[in-house]
Formats: sequence, C-alpha cells, structure tokens
Amino acid sequence: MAKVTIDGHEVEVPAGTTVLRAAKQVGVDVPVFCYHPGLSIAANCRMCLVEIEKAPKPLPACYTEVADGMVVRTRTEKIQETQKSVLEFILLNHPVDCPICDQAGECVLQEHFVTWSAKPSRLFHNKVGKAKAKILGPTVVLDAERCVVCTRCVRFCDEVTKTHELCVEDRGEHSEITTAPHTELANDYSLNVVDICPVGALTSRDFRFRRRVWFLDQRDTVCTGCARGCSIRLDSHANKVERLLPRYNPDVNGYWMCDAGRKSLDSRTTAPMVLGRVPGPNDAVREAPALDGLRAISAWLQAARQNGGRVGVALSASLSCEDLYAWAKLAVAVGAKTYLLRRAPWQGDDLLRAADRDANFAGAKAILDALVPDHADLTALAADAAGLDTLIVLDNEVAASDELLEAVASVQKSAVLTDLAGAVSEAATVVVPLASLHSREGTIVNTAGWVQRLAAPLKPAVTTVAPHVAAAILGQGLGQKGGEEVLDFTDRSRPAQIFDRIAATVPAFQHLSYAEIADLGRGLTSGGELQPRRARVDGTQQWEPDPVAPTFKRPFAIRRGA
Amino acid sequence: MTQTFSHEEAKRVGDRMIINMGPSHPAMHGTVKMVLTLDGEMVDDVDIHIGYLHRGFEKMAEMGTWQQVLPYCDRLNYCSPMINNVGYVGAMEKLWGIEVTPRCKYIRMLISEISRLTDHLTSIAAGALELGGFTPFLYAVEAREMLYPLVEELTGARLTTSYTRIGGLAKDLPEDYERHLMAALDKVQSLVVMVDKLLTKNRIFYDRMIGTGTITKEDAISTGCTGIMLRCTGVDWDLRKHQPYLAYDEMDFDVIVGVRGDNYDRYLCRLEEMEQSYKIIRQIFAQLPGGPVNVDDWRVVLPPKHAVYNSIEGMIAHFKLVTEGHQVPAGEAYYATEGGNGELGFYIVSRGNGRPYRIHVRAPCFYAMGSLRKLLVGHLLSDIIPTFDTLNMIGGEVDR
Repeated sequence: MAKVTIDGHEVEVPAGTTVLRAAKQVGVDVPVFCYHPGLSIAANCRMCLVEIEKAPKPLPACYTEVADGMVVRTRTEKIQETQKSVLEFILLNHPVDCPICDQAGECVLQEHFVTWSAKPSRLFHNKVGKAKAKILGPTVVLDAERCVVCTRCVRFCDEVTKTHELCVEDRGEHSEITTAPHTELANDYSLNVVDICPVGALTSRDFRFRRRVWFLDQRDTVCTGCARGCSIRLDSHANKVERLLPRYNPDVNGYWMCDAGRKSLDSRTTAPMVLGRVPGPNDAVREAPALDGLRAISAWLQAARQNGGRVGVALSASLSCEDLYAWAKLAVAVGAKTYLLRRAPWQGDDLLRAADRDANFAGAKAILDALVPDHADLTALAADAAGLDTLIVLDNEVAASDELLEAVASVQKSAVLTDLAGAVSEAATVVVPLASLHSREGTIVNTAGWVQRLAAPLKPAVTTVAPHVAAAILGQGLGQKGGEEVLDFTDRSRPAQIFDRIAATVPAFQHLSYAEIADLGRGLTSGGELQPRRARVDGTQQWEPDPVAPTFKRPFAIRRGA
Repeated sequence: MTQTFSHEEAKRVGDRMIINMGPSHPAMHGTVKMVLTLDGEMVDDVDIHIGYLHRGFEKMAEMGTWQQVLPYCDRLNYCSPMINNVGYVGAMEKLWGIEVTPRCKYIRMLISEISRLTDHLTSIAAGALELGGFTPFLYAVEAREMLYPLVEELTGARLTTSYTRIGGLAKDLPEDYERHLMAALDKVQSLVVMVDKLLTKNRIFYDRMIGTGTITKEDAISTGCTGIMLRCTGVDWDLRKHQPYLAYDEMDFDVIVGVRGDNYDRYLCRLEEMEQSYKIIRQIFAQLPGGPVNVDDWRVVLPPKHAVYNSIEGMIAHFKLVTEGHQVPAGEAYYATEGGNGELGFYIVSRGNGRPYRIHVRAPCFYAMGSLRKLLVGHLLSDIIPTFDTLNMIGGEVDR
C-alpha cells in the first residue's frame, strides 16, 4: 500500500495504482484524451500532466504509478498553463466543424476546452488540411482533420480484437490514422472505435449525420442479439432506435459490444412489424389488433378444454423470464404441451459473441424446468404437430426454421404471437402483434447466468400487446379464478410483480429481487450456490466497479412534452 | 372571511349589491377581478381575484436554459422590462460569483433608471386618465414616448428588451447615445412639469387622491409592501440606498418618502422619484467608466462572432453555451433590485445542469395586492379607481 496526497486529499492505494486512478478515488478530476481503462496506456496526449513533488517536470497521471509519500498537485498555475498549452496545440489544426460534427454535444475535446482552457485562438496562419471523409471500412469513416491522434482506435485493434488494421501514418501535425496496406477496418467489433474516439474523427457510417446527439432519448438496457446479453445504452428519437452503445459492465461485456449486436436490434435493418390478423367470414382473413386475435385464441382454448382437444404452446428462448413464466403458467392451466424453441446458433468468438443466439436460454430453462418439467424441443414439436388441434407459437424472431413453419402450417388452429413479420406468421391462422422488442420490460439471463433487466426504452404500438399481458388475458378468458394462481398481470408495470413470483417458485432465482437487478444485474444461483463471477473481459482481476470507467456524459436533452 | 356571493344570494340579502368589477374593466388594467359587495356607494367587502394574466413564467423557466429564460423576464413588469433583466442575470451572477465590469454596472444602472421613468410615467398617465384627465395622460405618455425610442436604440425593442446577459450586456451603448438621451431627458422633464401643473393642484384630482387608499406603516410592513407602497407611509426603505447593488452607492440621490400613506402621497412620491432618476442618469454619464461591458470569460459570455466563425476555440465555447446553457453551479441565490414598484427579487435554484431547476420571482405588486382589500373596504366605490391606480398593479408581475 502507498499513501499519497493529491491536492491535499490523503489516500492509501495499492502499490502499482496509477496517479490517475488514485486521484479519481478522492474525487479529483484529471482530464484525459488518450487514456482508456480498457486499453493499454499510451500517455501521448499529455492532457493529464500533473505536478509531483521532487519530480523535475510534470508527469502524466495516467502512466505514473504512485509511490509512498508522493505529493501530487493537479491544479497549480503551472499545470493550468500546461493544460491550456496542450489544448491550444490540439486545437491548432482542428477544423471549425462543431455545427456539422456528429460528436458535438458529447465531445471530450469540447468538454475539456470549456472546462480547462476557454482561451481564444492565437493562430495566424492556415490550418493543416487533411482527408475529410476517409472510408476505413464498411462501418467507419474517418475525418482526419478532427483527429487528436490519441491512438485509442489503433490500440483497440491491436489489443482487443488483435486484428491490427489501424496505424498512424506520417509525423507531427501531418500524423493521420490510416489502415494498414491492403486492409480495411472490417472486424466484428469495428464500431467500438467510434465509441472510444474522444472527438468526431471516427464516425459510424450508419449513424453519421442522422441525429444531433442532444435530441436523443437515452436509456440503459440489454442487448438481446445473443446469449451474452451485453449491457448497452439505447439512444432513440421519436420512438425509433438511432444507435446502441456498449455500457460498462465488468461482469458481462467490459467496455465493448459487437457490430452484429448493434445491427440485430436496429429496427431499420430488421424485418417490418407484423400486422395482426384473424379469420374473417367466408375464409377471408381480416387485419386485426392484438385483442381480436386473443379473443379468437381464447375461443379455441375454451373449445379445447370442453372437447378435450390437444393444445401445444411453443415458446421462444429469447422471451423474457416474466413472459415465459406467464405463458408456462397458462400452458399448465390449459393442460398444453410446452415446447421451447431455439434460434439457430451463429458463429461465436472468444471475445463477446456467444454461439447461442437465444438471449434468455438460461432463464427459460430454469423457469420451464421448474414449472413444466416435461417441456420438449422443436424436434418433438415437429413430431407432435399432426396430433395437435391448437398450436400457439411465441417467437420474436419468426425467421425460424422450416420445421416450425411446417408444424404451424399443419395444425388447423395455429396462432403466432410475434413482433416482426415472417414466413411462420404468414402460415398461421391467427396472428397477434406483440410489442416490439425494445418496448417490453422484463429480465433475461445470459449464458453465464447473469440476470439483467430490459428497460423498455420505446413505447409499444397501440395495436400490440406484451407477451405476459397476452397470457393474462387468455388466462382470464379461461376463468382461471381461484385455482393456484390467477393470471392477472394486466399492465406494463407488472414484470416486477411477476419477477417476485418467479423468485418464489423457481429455485435459481430465490435470492433475487427485481429492484436489485437494476443497472449492472445480478448472478443467478446454480444449485444453491452463487454463480462464480466470470473473468473480466479486459483481463484484469479487479472486481470493484472501475473508478475510471468512461461514463458517457448525458448531453443536454431537449424536453419534448411529457 | 371574504365571501363570494352569487347574484341569487345577493338578491336574498336584499340590501346589498354584488358587482363583478373586471377582469376586463378598463380601470382594472392588467386584468384583475374584484367581486364587490356594495352597501349603496360604500364598499362593504371586496374579494380580489388575481391570476387572469397567468402565463406560468416560473414553470416555463424550468424548460429552457438560463439564457432562454431571459426574454420571458421582459414580460414580468412590462412597464420597466430592463429592471427585470438586471434582476434576473444579477441572481445568476451572484450564485456563480461573477463580478461584472464597472462599465456594465453603470449601464445597468442607466437602464434601470430609464425603466423607472417609463414605469412611473405609465402609472401617473393611467391614473390621470382613469380619473378623467385625458390631457395629463397625453403629456405623460408623450414623455414616455421620448424614452421608448431610446430604449429601442439601445436594445432593438421598446418592450421586449432582453438587454442584459449573464456577465454583461447584449451590446455596449450605441454611438452618441448620451447626446440622444440627454436631449430626450430635457423634453421628458419639461413634459413632466406640465403633468405636475395639470394634476398636483388640480381640485378634482386632489380631492379624489387625498385621504383615499390610506395604508398605515404597520399594514404596509406586515403585508410585505415595498417600493412606493411602503415609502408613502414614511418608511425610509429603498434597496438602491439600503442594500446598494451595482454602483448605486456611488450615486448621490435621495430616498423619497411620504407622510400620510394615501394616494396623493404615492403620486407625489412618483413625481419626485423621477426627479431623482434624472439626477442619477446625469451622474451616470458624468462618471461612466470606459472598458468592456462583458466579463472576459467564454464560459460566461458568448465569444465575439468573428471568433465563433473563424476559430474552433470560439466555436466550441459558443456551441457549449448555446446547447448546454450556462453552467451555473448548483446552489441557491436571491438577488433583489429596486423595481418600479418595489423590491423585485429573483430566487433561483440551480442543479448545475445548464438550466434553472426553479425560479421564484418576488414580485412587488403581489404583496401590494395583498394589502389592497383593507384599503378599499369601508370606502367609496369611486375610491377604488385612484387606489388601484397608485398601487400600480402590473398583471405580468403578479401572475407569474
């Protein structure tokens, strides 16, 4: 342990801690450009220079390790002058781009300039011109003039993806980020360089020029692209997803998320919303909102109960725990056979992407094992389909398999509840539109047994219904009063209550409460023991929340009505 | 307890008449309603309803950045908008610990005194008019019209001035402003002499003003009256003198107090206070310091446009101030100026996020309105007019 004094605050930190981290612990803010806690330390921006007693000149706080008895000063006149000079150099060739720059409003350079300098320019000659829209790869564009050459992007490609696409070319004020000869920035995590770029040099070709950042509504939620369940921030505007950003979570994704995850959740790149439909008179079909479809299904279920018809309920392993719980309860109530549907796996990797694409398979398995131990899979459904009178499929990724399509087509009374249009819903007799993925609240459990909350950042369309609400409506249609439990989860605020019931019934969830899962999530028990924490993605052994994790400053948001 | 009677009930009472005066009565300027219970010509009871000009200023202020709120202030006391401007930015500067430049202080005093003149002229003009004196009204309004073009020359608008800025002013005085203002001031003074001659010893005016609407010292203090409503009772209290702000402690002027606390005293106080304002304005120009009007800090004052368009430094500073607002630190502050009607105070609460968390305006008229019922009950119906006039209620200020 080393005792250091930083701006008069004494703090004891383990040996090997950098001055920057120690300063953060006592609440002293040291500005940085090049330092990123998920990357190696380059100490090239010189923004974090601090005065250390007995050192002949200012030292970079990000790189210098503490020593016992060290006295650090971060706000001396000399340091203030240094910071102003560093900013003056950085801004010397920076273009006057804020009005057309995507980063404006969440730009570290803007932030540092007004905080640490705010001094007029002394430049009297022309600025050095560089490439304004250099395409680095399929996802990223570089504006070389805006670059402060912090090399975060270069280090990301060297250290995190280990693909080494980027490098710095030329010297001094001609330095420019570029791709290595005959390569392009095309790795599966390329968009992370846009997130870590402190300025507007690297921009996403997808988000570029789409929306000023201070118009975005920002909500913390979870990526459901695969079983990793990366913590993300979802930025939306006018109820449409604009972009997804990784949110720091040491137990799940560290600082990063994959490009496919960002795309998989984007309403602009996925299938169109499904339209609800019920059988009309004379074999015609009629477009219908969710409630009409549920009425038709309710009639089937009541008929099946009177005539002893066989019912099958196929549930997607990507649904939330609450939705699965409500539907499993319903399946038990109507005596239906329950099937658990899986999405086709994709290519996983050893960084973040899990081969398993079902966001909640761990949760689904735990809940169905507890409630309907005899649940089966798609193969069993294909075999059983011929004997079923009624089949209800819940799947938010309808693009599923041929087997499912055949099963749905072969059952006379088939209903599909989904949010996106696809072949399976085409084949169904009744289609009930579900609330879109980002407008459903609930919890999901990732592949390592980590429970996180989906925050429902968007508002659902009025014609749609949330899956657990659909279950509640059908349950009421069956007159399930009395019994072991009334399915009366009828509004959006209910997932919290359903979760309490899950915690009471499903052994793995016993120690959890909905409120506790906020932000970073909690571990699921496995066999009564707490799930051991997964090694951190950034390789360090520190379990405490990272004190210097970059918190994206929430820019000034314009309030629009209620 | 004040009761509001419906017309049916009034009939049942039999000997009393209930009349709604306002809110759209010509003498109820600023839209206010008085439910009068009349015993013949005598006011038996009066229930005063404010709120007809409520625009939700304080709530609206929470929606914008600090700078975006400034234009709303113009509409508080619309007879003296620039005093509102001075008070609003003063509160922020107090919370932020910003000391404005000496020249800025002097110009802020100048605009305050011009506004005080327009305020008092409006009050006297309207009062005379409502007592039947159309000629003094024309003289007083003409005097005001001498000043409004000067306000326009300075700020670009007659009423919607928005002239101050956090840490300074929108712009410095225009060229030749002193000459223009002095010329106008001479005319204003001669016109006010005419108003004085027409009103002060006018038998009709005097009889309707003297001894009506009398407020006691104790009532004025207990209801929170400030400004002329308080000084007319003989209380020597003027924020410019007793809690000097800007550079009022460098000015030589007198606090005008009354003797009886009636309408006539309030009228005389206004006349005399205008004399003091001329005096202050002449002193301001005699001592006007040079130098910049804005503090030298781009975190507070927008950079000059050539720096915004031609350098990234100016661009960033401008961008941050405009999109995120002034980063007034978290905390609370109260700052009061002597407005046309008394202590105009702004109580601001900041959470440090570039916009007001809460703003409360201590509007002088609001407290004066609280004392009004006592001034009217037991007096003649016709006394309501001069009393309500000299109280000089400004709806924009009472109903925030």
